[in-house]
Amino acid sequence: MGRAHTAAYRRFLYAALGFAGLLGFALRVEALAALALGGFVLLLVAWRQARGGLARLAVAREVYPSAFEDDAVPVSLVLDNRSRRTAWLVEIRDSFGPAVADRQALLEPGPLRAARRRRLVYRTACSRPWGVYTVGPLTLSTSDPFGLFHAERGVPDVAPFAVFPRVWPVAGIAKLGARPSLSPQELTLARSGQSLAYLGVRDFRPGDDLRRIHWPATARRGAPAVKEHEVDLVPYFTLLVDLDRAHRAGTGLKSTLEYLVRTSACLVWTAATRGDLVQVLGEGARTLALPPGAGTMHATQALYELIQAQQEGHVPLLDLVEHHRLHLPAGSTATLLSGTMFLDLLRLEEALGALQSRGVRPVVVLVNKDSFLPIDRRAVPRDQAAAQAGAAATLLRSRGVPGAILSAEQDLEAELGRVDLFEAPR
Amino acid sequence: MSEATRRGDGLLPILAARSVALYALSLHAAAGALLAWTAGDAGMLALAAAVLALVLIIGESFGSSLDLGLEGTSRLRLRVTVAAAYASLVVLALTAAVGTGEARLLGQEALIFTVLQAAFLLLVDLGRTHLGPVANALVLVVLASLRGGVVAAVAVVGGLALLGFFLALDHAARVLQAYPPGRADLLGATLRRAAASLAPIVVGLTILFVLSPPAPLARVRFPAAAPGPRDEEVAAAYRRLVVFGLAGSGLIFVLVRLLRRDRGARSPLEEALSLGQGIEEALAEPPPLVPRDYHGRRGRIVRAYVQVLARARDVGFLWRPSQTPRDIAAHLPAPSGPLDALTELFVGARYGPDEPSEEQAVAAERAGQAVRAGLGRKTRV
Repeated sequence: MGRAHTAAYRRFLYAALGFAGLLGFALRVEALAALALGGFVLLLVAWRQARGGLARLAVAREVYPSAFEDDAVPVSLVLDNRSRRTAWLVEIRDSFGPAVADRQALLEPGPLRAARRRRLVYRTACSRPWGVYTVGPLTLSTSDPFGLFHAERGVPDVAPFAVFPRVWPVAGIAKLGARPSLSPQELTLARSGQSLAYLGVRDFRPGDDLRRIHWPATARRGAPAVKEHEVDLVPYFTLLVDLDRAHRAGTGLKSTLEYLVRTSACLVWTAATRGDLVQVLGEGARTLALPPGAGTMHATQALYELIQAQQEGHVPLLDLVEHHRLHLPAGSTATLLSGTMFLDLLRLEEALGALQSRGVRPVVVLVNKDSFLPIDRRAVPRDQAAAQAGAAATLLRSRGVPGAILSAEQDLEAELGRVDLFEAPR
Repeated sequence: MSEATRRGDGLLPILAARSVALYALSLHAAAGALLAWTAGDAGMLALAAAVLALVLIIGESFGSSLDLGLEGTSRLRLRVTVAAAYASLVVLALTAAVGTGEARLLGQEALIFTVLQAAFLLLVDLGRTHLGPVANALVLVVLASLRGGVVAAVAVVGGLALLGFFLALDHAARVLQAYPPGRADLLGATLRRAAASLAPIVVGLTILFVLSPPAPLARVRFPAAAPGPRDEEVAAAYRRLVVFGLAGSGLIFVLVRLLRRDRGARSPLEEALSLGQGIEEALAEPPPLVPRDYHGRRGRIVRAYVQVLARARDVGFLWRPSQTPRDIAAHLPAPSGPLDALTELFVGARYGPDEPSEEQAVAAERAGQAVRAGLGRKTRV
């Protein structure tokens, strides 16, 4: 409840009791003077009670600091009453940035007895699009029993909250080069490593795991011997994102940044959930460099990095590929996500060839920036864009590289869900 | 909040009790003024009790449907115009009554304001607050208090007490109305809290009136044939009034609960959330703050810092054990200059190898005082 209601009665009482008091003293009517006196004592008592109402009352928030778009988020508020009095009608206001409403208001009606804690939970939804928002501050407020005075205190509990883009499974990725470790087509390298494929037996060296001791060989030789395994080429997925400032176009949900981030999120999440080692590389206003890692926590970290990315970089995608391709392991998959179709096709062919020669399987996803609303430069004419799309598709087909072209008019969710997404660029 | 009945939650009993308190205040004030300046027989009191109860039930039950179709600005303009006209009427009436000192004129004014009280009760649900009936009831109490004697004493004491109960119930109802229905059994607690706060005032005023009975307005001229009611007649009239009042209150309590429709409002930018049942648990006593012995200047700096933390905890700022002094300083709502200085001095004194200088100890104590003063001002009333 706002201050307006409490102020209305209070101001009226100031005026009415003041008038009654003046009248009483001027006319020497004791009853009127007593009415004013009693009324002002009531106001004084109320003021003191309101002032002490928030003393030693504390609130803190507990919330998991990230969620996906449209997720319902439970926010837990812990209200502590460390005073000796019972607390009543305590209002708590929170500001949950990803929600549509500016503020969330909750009421703890009481009684919250002395030295007690109450845990309140409210649910709200991440209605705003992906990004990093703030949650807080909290505000505690209460009034005296008559509602004449309002006491309010801000609790500067402000924390960031990450809203991740909703991820859809990219069906086409299942056909790409990454492989689970125990699949029939498992690839290993005939060097000493950690796979399940047996390589041989060698002498025990200090530091070797005791569980790897080969007991029959040890018995035969009379000295400890250990089993050796081959290197396991774990599924390895690299995403190279184009964050070149020159490829900005469109606004809001129909923008190249939106398509790049959302597509990246879907690719990373799909790869991570099937067990790949995932790394993400890009050069925006700041370097986007997520080292290789596996699991949901790593994918979450990847999403966190992606939602902070801005198309403010000056490094072309092919330069980025050139810079990193020597570090990509053989047998891995490298996805090139470009903000434009107008890549230098000769250089692209060269880069694809270099990747393939290292045993890396490239995938190319081109976002047609000219299909979005132009921001700072004119869109390329339709026929020219169609010719470039055709040339790019021909190049990818000729080198056997899976690829796709995404445009503004397409429904991104449906497009990414297509099983044949990477088979024939449209 | 949309129009919706809220049967089953804790709001309806409070809304009904608020109506009863408003009715009791109105009836008490009207009866006081009528007893003071008119014949005030049983028939008139019964009529006043019945009419006030009837109009309040109508006003509370169907007032929200009488929207007048006015926009916010027009509504405000109407409210200001009505308030100004009413204030002028009150000033004019009291000036005329006090100036002429005619008992008959005061009697007519008591009747007029009783009728106005009924009108305000009929329109009780139109405004955001119930200021109209409350203000008119106070005018009736003022009229009664001009009469002096038992009537004035009862009017003042009863009027203040009933006003307090009404305000307490109105406050609880407004707070609950702003939120979705939920657990809230506040009627008994609201009445107890209001009674506890009002009791000293009521007892004090009663003792004052017993020791020094209030005199009437000196310049009032009473007709020789009608010297005014005697104390026994007033007592009998109030006994009758209690019976009428109880009957009316019971009727109002039942009918308002049955017919009342809730009409809460909240800013569209603010989302009022319903709660899951809160889990209550005992609060562990916080560990005592730094009982270690620090001697000398190092000890003075640490004590200054610990005192700041104790004050911060008193005003509701809690920190986690994992937070460093600089983390705490970044979040503590206190003047940043002295706080940063104190934090640096504390870190040096607590963890540094060198004994601090006298100047540093004095600076820490001064900074601690400034920070504590800054923290103390954070609660706004």
